[in-house]
Amino acid sequence: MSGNLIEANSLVKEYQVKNTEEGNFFQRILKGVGRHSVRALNGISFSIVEGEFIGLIGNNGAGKSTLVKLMTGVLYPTGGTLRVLGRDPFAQRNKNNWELGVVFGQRSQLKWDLSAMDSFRLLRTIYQIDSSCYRKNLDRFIELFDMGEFIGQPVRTLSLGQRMRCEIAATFLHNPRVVFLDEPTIGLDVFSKDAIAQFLNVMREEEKVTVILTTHDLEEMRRICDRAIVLDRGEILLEQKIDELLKNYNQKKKIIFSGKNEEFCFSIKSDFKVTKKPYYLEVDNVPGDELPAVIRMVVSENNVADINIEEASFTDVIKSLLKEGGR
Amino acid sequence: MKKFLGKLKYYGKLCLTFFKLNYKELEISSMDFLFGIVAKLLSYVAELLALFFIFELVPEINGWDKYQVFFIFGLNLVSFSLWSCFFINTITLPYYIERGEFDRFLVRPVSPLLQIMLDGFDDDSWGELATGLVVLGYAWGKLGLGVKVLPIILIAAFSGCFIYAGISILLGTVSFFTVAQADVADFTMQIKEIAKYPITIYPKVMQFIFTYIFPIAFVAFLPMWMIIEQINIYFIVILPVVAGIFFLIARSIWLRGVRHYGSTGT
Repeated sequence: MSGNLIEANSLVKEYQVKNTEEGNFFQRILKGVGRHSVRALNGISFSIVEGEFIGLIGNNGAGKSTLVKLMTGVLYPTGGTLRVLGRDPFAQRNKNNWELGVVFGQRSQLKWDLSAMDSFRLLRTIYQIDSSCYRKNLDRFIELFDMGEFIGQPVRTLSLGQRMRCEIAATFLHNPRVVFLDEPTIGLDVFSKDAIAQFLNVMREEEKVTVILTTHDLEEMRRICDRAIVLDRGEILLEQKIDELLKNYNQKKKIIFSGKNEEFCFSIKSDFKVTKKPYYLEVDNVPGDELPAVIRMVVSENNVADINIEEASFTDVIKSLLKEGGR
Repeated sequence: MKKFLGKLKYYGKLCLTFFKLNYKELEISSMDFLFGIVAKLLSYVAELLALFFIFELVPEINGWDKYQVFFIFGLNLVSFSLWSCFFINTITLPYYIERGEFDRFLVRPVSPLLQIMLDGFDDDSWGELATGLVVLGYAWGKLGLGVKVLPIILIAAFSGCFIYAGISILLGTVSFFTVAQADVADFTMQIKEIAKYPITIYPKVMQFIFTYIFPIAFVAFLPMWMIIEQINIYFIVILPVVAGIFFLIARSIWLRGVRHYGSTGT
């Protein structure tokens, strides 16, 4: 199929693990006693269109990293097929690499003792970026990330936030078609996170780039990504546009009343989840169309001072999804 | 042909850019760098004095006189330090894999092996290079070999550099298959200690191993022998050929390692 930048069909990845509790040393070495294969990805299929920003979600061990490593051609699959940019990512890794950008959040691609600028120069040679394009991108990134001050300092002297800005700028320098960001914001302060989200949104507007992001900060993912792929124990639990996901989920809302009654009186019989505390009443699971009726009733029977209507955050949604899906 | 030239230009530029940055890194740690040189020089002074002393007692070792032995010692050291100054990173592979840093070489459009080779200079091997050059120059002068052997020495030194690179790559490849970091990298350093003497002083089995398996006989001993025996100059070609073949074998085994890494990722 054309149009799909990344396409996976019943993708399987198994690892060999050794259980050192089984057999003795010689049995393990010679006969392979205690060896088991573990499925990190259990036959998943999905496709990603050019220009999409995808958020990969899942608990530790759900298979996110494995999937990123398969798509970048670091690993090859045990079964199924995977095409990235129309090619087999492992067999044609070198070709794909020209059009790929990768940030492994925990590891640096910048030279530690040198300035970020030096690393950029190296990348310019490696990717054969022509000088006008290099100049243009560099100026733009320096402005977007406000990097002018620290771009000439040795990378080891930068703060984590400054370093990560440099890492991300380095990844976009050669106008990649697909960018993988594996935990790029881990341990960053809110301002650095903001800067990165803003940067990515500018890239979305101005470049024809596709981004695959993994992060544990789901609110941030909501700001950056269009679509979420939720992985759980090697399977796709859900694959949906983030807006739709929130809309569907938030058809039921939570209303919080506070007031002068020591104890609120609440007499509607239904499957609302009601929590009563002194001067406080919480009604959860209220469908949107019953909202006015509930509020009218509570207000008429109590002395209400304040009303709050809450929607589940993206984090709440994913949490409850993973809990339900987690069998 | 045009495509080939384009590639050549690309790799030339790549090496140059890497070398420039590596040099910059050395500059930053200039104190370490200088002390490293001095420390190496001193340790070799002691070793060379011992050699002088031996030759005070005996006129020759196994049929090789003082200056021939010094020639082998110097040429071996130059070959070794050419590798360790410029391409030392090939022994860093186990470390990269253990730290999970190998992946970053895999996602760039240049051969990971080349990237690792070019990834940094050694900061304290330059003293060895200097020592090697001095010893080699001294022996060369004393033996009265003349200018005509200089190209042979040059070819031998660069071939030897690639033999050492090949050995370190072969040993590093082991770490693709083992989880625990077996300290095989050190072996490259040990082999240098063996190659600095005439290979004929060792038992037959070792001579065989160091000629046909780890071909360090080609680093310094055989070039010396070729010069002494005034072998036809065209035979010198065998040095880069052996070094090239050995390096390519090491590379192909390394590529198998990379393939294996693709199934486990650890």
